[in-house]
Amino acid sequence: MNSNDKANQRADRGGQFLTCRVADEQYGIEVLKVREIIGVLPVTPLPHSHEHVLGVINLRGRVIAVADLRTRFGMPYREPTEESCIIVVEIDDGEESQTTGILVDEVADVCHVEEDQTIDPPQFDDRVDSSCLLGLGRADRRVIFLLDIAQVLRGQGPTAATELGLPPQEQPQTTP
Amino acid sequence: MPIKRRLILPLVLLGGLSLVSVAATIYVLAEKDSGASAINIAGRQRMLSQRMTKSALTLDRGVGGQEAARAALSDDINLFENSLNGLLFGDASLNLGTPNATVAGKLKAVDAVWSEYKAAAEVVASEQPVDRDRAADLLATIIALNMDLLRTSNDAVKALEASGKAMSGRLTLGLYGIMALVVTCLVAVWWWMGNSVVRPLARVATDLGGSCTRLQTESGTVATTSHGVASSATEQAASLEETAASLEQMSGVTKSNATNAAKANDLARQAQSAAGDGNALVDELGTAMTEITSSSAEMAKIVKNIEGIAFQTNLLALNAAVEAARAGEHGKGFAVVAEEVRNLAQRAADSARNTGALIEESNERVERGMRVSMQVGESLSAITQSSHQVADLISEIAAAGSEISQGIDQINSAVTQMDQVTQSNAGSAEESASSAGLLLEEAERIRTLTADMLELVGNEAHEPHAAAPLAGRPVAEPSRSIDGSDVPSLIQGRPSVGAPASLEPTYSADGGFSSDAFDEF
Repeated sequence: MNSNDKANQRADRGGQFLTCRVADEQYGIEVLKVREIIGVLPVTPLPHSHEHVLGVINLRGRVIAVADLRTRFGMPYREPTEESCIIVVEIDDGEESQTTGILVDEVADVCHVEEDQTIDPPQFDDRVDSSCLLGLGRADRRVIFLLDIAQVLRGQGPTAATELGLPPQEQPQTTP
Repeated sequence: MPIKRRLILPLVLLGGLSLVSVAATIYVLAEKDSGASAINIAGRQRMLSQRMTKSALTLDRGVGGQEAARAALSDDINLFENSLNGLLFGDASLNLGTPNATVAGKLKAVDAVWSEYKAAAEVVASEQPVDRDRAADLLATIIALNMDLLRTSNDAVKALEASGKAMSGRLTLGLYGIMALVVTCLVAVWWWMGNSVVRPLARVATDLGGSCTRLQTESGTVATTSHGVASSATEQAASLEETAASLEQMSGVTKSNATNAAKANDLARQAQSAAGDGNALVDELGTAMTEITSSSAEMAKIVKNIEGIAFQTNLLALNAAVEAARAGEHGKGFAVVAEEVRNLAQRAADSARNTGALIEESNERVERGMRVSMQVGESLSAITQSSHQVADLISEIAAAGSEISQGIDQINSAVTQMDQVTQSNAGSAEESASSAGLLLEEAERIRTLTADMLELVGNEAHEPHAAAPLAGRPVAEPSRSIDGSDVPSLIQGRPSVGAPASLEPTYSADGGFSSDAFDEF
């Protein structure tokens, strides 16, 4: 991803976001990248994987990897609750689309964030890699971390997308 | 030694003396009689000698009745012979004793003359005829001898008289001696009687007087004590009546206690059964609570289902919203519908959550209710137990009350008996008091009698030592028996408050028994 892309992305970072909650923070995921929302399914652990990669699930015949946002953001793992959901996202980096599950504590709603209601992410937070953020959005008096979900899954922070068994520049093994 | 036996000796002595004097008198009389007989017979001998001479003369002269003269002569000869023999040798039939030597000599002389005279007289007296000479000789002899015979007989009579006089003097002397002996004996007996009979009698009389005084004192004490006992008995009788009345009240109270105990027993049993019913109800309540709990659990499950459905609906709505967003402008209407569905799902979830909370709350309350009902059950059990114990205690109280009632009955009868005894005691005390009064009078009489007796035995028989204990006797002694604690009265030697005043004059009247007054006896 080059700086132009970044700038472009940031330029049109307003739009529809699916908000979810991890720990006490609200995160927003671009709706266009969300495939669907499902409840928690049995997860088959994946050996020799990163800590935030919980394993794989069987979604209507498709096997997809599931990442835990808590662990990804350096928080301790927590057993899923009744409110926990898996958001199935489809990341399209031009050639291939990659489908991955993200375990969040709760899914809130779909909200619209205006362009002028967004700001750049602050650079002082070490815990959240600012490269994973599109910015901070404000909606309904809430402040939402607008996640760059592809960067989250690919990021080199505590976890890297490659660790999921999905090299960033390669085709994923499982394609729909 | 009894007086009877003591009197035997002087009586025997006096009796013996009497016997001796009587015997002596009889002897003297017999002697005198014997002497008189001898003198008489001797006198008669003189007369016989003259008559024999006269008969001989008559026969000699042959005048008158020869035969009669002869018989008379013969008789006279025999009589003279017998009498002379009696005089000589003693003859009991003639009351003649043996003569003494002088008399016997004179009588021998008479006998000598008589033997001759007798020979002549016998011849004369015989019927054989004699010649004149012979007859004259005989007569002459007789006449001659007659004078001798008369003279000797006179001598004999004189000797006899002298002998009788001497005898009489001796006898008189003997009688004087006996009289002196009797006087001596009388004096001795008098002295002995005084020593051995009168003095003990006097002592006894004196002691009797002392005893009598003490008797009077003690009688006074007894009278006072009896009066005291009688008044005490009367007071006791009053107290006993009060006791009986109190017992009556107690009996009534005990009976009402028994009735109340029976009522309380009934109430306790009712409380027990009510508590038992309550226990059963609490059990039912527990069952109902348990059922409520299980129903709540069911409801909780249902709520969970609803929650799950709401969750799923929410997810569906979210997915619909995502799809609507993707659809862009075309999906806007759909997005609104999805939003509404999501809101409905949210509300359903909220309602389910609220219901769950309510169910939770009601569950907690049911649990609390169960705890409370269990506590109520325990309390009811405790109440049951307590009322059981109360019933038992009340039964015991009732039993104790009946025992008390029986005891009170027994006490009542005992009090009645005591009352009777007290009445009889009072009567006895009164009687004893009057008896003591009589005793006092009797003692006074005995004292008078004793004084008389002392007068009889004579005051010189009294010895001061007999009166000494009486005089030294403390007058206050009766006060000791009034109440044993009256020490001052003993010290002062005067009857104090307790001593009856009636005793005072009695005792001063008894002053006669003091040593001074004894001298007046």
